[in-house]
Amino acid sequence: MSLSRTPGRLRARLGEAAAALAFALVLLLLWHTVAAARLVSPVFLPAPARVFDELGLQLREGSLLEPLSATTWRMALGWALASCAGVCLGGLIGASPPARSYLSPMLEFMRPLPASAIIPVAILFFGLSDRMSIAVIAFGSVWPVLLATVHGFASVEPQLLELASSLRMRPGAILRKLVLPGAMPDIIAGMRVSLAIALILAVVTEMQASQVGLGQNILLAQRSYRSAELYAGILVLGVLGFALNQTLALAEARLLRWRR
Amino acid sequence: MIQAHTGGTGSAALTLSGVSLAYGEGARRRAILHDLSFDVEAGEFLCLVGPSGCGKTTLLRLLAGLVRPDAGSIRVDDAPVEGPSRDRAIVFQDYSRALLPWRTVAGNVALGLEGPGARLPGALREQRVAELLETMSLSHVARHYPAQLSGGMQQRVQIARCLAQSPRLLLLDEPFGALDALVRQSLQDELARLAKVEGKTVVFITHDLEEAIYLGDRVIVLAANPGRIAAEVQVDIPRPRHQLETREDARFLALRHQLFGLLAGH
Amino acid sequence: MGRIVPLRAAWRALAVPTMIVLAWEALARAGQLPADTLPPPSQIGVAGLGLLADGSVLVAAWQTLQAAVGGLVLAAITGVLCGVALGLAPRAARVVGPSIEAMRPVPAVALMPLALLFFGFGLSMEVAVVSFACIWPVLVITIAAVRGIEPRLLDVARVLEMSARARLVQIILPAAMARIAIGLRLAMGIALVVAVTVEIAIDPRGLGFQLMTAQQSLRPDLMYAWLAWIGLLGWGLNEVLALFAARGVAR
Repeated sequence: MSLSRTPGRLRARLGEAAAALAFALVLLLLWHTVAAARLVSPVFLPAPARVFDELGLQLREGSLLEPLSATTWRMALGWALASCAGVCLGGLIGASPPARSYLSPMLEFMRPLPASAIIPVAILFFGLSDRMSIAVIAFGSVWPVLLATVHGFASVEPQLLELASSLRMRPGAILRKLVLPGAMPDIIAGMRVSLAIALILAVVTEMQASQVGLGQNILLAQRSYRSAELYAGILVLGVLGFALNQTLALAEARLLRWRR
Repeated sequence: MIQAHTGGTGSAALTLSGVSLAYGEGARRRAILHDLSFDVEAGEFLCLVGPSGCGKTTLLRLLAGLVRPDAGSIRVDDAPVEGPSRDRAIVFQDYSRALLPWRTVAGNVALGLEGPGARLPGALREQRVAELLETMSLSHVARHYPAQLSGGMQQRVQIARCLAQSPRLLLLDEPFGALDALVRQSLQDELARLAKVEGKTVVFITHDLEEAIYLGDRVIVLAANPGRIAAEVQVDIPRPRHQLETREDARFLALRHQLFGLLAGH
Repeated sequence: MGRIVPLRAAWRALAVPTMIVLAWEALARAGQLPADTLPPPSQIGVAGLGLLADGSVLVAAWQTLQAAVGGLVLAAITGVLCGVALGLAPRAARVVGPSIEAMRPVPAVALMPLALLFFGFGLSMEVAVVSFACIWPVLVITIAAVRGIEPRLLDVARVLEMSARARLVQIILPAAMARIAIGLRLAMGIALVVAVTVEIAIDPRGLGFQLMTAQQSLRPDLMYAWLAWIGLLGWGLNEVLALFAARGVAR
């Protein structure tokens, strides 16, 4: 029974994968046809081949490397700062009920504030500099980590705390062995949301401050009507977003493998 | 009251005198436990049985040192209980929330060997964990996570962790209440055997009268509202006991009849 | 006693912000803070009330809300329709899914230049970017919601020989609505954020543009006032949606 079923299932899955690929190719073909027939002006919609040529050129010339690494570096630095600050502050607030009752409402009030709205404030303080970008990225992406950590620290299983006290565990050990691992699912979920926000803010601040980076690239491409370059830039940002999310998903699966 | 202590060695490992506890404020203040006094001999297996609301769990938390009594004293080996101690291990009823889900079975057992006053060198610690896993028949799942185990297996892990603490006193709070009948029986037999082999003093809480008689050297029946001692009997059935024969033994049935009314009446 | 607790909670919630504002005011008055970056809160408050009095807050908020709600509606219609279709046809979903997944990680702001290219400055480009950002949560949650419908309900529909339309309107949408509403609430929050972001970065209209202009014209008091209004709008919108969500659950 299982012998005959396994190849059947495999075949079905292969068939689906082929269909999914075919669908993607159809979309690409549609794009190509629309562009080739000039249904939309090439100023707005370049043929897919031109976009891939442009991407290939940038890769060969190495001209993609600088903006890509600049964007990634600013994003990563801001995100790392946000994660550290979010976990530390969130832990302090989450572990102390009085701190929670004094600070949580203020944090909840600040959460729906669009992160990009502090760009002008940051410009005021730091000028149009890298420090401005990193400050905006860090400030904007700190909230998901912070609030998730508060929640994670506040919802430690009370019975585990009793267990800890019956084992006479010291506060440091309780933090390291119980509270932090228990809050880890929340923290990682928060960090994933934060990373998406960090990428968005990296792109926006580059556009604002005319810094070298992928965001500035696509804005310049649009201003000079180089549509192939614009589409190539969007593609690269999509791949970057995808790669970052996959990396974190992988890390999450590895760190939280105990959750079955 | 019967004074023969078949299970114990004759010296009191645990003494409660006049212990009372109430919760709540002002008019809502409600007595949970009222004027409890009893001794537990070293090496004795004492079962506390009572209806819900008789403060069984609170009593166990008092013994563990997690709560302090309003009045009276609790002494372990003649020293007053002033807080939790590694000498008193507690097995919680809700096993799913008493294990660290991010640690493997071996890691959870090792937790009992960590912390102040339990510094074993690494190799010895691993060896001790391996022994305990062997004792509780957990060796084959040593690298599994709790979420991958059945309830009975999770409860075994909890017991193994408590044994790792090398406690003088083992406190169990309805540990087998949530398990199905077959698993419960085999764990009962294992616990009874282990307690005698390792010479542990055990306080076992249950709402199941038969379980109490089957496991205990002595059974204390608690009455509710507020929790107080309703009866205390010695169980003079020799060990090792047997799930079928013991439960059909005339002495077992007599005790069951004697105590059943006390529980049902409240 | 039931009344005292919320009062105490409110007092605690306001204690820290009040202290910060008072300290800020005192330091600014004492000349301890640079006036070009941190003007006294009282000055910001006056500027904020001025914006309300001359109606410019309402105009800008209206422009921003137009873009946010327009984009949200577009995303909600497309997302719910596609989500229901893909939720009901798991095979089609597996064929289309990878192509969708490939588009999803593109940060919405990366599409700003493209939208600008197509639509020029103004409402339409903002709506386009907002709807691209909002469609994903709606789509993903709708698919999950439709898949999560109790299969026996669908059996009932089949036994009653309902038409496809009746099945959609009478069974599928009501059954999936509670979860779809969660997706919409999530999308609403995103809509406002993206609209303001587009205005800050590119589009010369709405709250975001006014905020940026205030900074560029070296009026920090006005800038903080706009920031406060944006914060209030975001908070208010969130509260309103939370209220709706609570009522939906209670029903």
